[in-house]
Amino acid sequence: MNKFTREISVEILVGLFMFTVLIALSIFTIVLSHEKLWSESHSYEFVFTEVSGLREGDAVYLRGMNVGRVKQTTLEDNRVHVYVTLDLPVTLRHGYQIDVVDASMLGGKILKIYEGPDDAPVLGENITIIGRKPVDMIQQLGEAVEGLQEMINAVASGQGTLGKLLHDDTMYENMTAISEDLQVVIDKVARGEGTVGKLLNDDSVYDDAAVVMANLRSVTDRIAAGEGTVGKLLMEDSTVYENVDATMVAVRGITESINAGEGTLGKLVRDAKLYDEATLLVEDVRAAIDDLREASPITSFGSVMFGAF
Amino acid sequence: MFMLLEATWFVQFAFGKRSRHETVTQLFITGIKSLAVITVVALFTGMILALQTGLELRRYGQEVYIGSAVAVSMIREMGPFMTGLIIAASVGSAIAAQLGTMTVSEEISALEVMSINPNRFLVMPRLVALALMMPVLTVYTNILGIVGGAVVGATQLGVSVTSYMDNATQFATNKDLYVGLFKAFIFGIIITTVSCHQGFMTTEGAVGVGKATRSSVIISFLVILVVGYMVTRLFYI
Repeated sequence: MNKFTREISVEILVGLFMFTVLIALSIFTIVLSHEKLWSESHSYEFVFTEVSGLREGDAVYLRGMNVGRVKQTTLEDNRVHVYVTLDLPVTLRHGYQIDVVDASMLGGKILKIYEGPDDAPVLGENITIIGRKPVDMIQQLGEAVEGLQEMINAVASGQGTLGKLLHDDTMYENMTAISEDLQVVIDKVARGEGTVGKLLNDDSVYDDAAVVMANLRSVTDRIAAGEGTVGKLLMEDSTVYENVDATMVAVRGITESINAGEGTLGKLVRDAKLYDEATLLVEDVRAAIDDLREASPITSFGSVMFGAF
Repeated sequence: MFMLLEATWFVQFAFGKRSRHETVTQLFITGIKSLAVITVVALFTGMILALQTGLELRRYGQEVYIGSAVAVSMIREMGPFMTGLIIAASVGSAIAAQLGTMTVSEEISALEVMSINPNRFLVMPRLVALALMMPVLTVYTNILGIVGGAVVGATQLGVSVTSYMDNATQFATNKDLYVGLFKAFIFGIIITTVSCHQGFMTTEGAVGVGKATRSSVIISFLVILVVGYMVTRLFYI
């Protein structure tokens, strides 16, 4: 290889290398600019009162998907105008929400778009899209801490139930009194005093209960064995039932006969003649008794007078 | 003062035709001949960055963010810094040794006797070559570093290449890229300036050449570190 060829080779090599790297740098630049040169993009403008540090290049999310980036933020007329570029068109409806939210616990912001309810009417043309004021987590945390501090101060100064619990001795004293009373009751129970004490300490109740249970068991055994009236009534043998049934049939026959005026009882129930005769008999007997009562002194006197002779 | 002189020589050099061949040769030495070592260093820098940050992020279940960690680190700082160190150690030391040898063998004096400005004849091709090639090499380092991180992410940390690349491009910006390239450009000027200065200041024969080489590397490293910090502070605070 002569000198000229070597020089040409070196120049070509250097040129190729620099050309390749410049192309790579161009691609790098395009990629980092987050611009999509060969696909359609859609630009939107949102207006906020505050954006809490939303910056150019922050991601835009729709239904949890990254659909674009914040292209520019400008402060105009006390409002922040946020210009975004989206990969797809978004149809906003009444009830839409545009929020600046934290990208993660570590920081960073994203723009979140909610298009609005499906059944809501679509927004008209040339309408300013207003974003919601972002929630400042730090501020909210500060307010929460402040509230907590106020609560602690109130408790420390004895306000409210918790404060009284911590500072007022009344409840403690009441608790102590209850505890002492309870101790007395427990001591009594332990000594076997009172009904509860006897229940816990005296075995006689248990023994009696055991006897009652034994007796009850004996009775139930007998019943189960078909002994006694109840046992016979409950046993599967239908003799008693049949006897009772026959008795009931007989009783029914008798009552029917009585109802029909048959026999002495039937006539007594149904025949008025016997009633009338009985009434007359009673009247005669009463008259006879009255006569006898009236005649009794005379008879007695006669008996005394004529008894001497 | 030295920078002002360099600017003057640069203007003279830009309108001269004689130095083109020398400049291309220096571009070849600086760029093509350094590619092998830069490839290895860049790849492993990206891999180490990905592994170290990935292992920490894994504790929080956030290993998917290694893409952005590696990309931003490489583009902003590690790319120009690592390239600067490699070029200072390889090309810078060679420049210092070459010019030092020429100084102690009085070749520089001979050039001056022949009314050839040694700064324009020897320094400017190297200065232009390094100032041009350093950003180019930095882009190459950045790309390889990010690729190395992707390899570690995919093979060691379970982060797919797609997720890695999405994340890598999410947080890095063009400002990061071009500030990094600007740093590389400044580092190129620093390396050439320091190395040429050390070479021209060489005394005491071969021992002096060794000292000049060592000093050029050490001073270049230190100046690169300090200037790197200052440029970062200038653009980000």
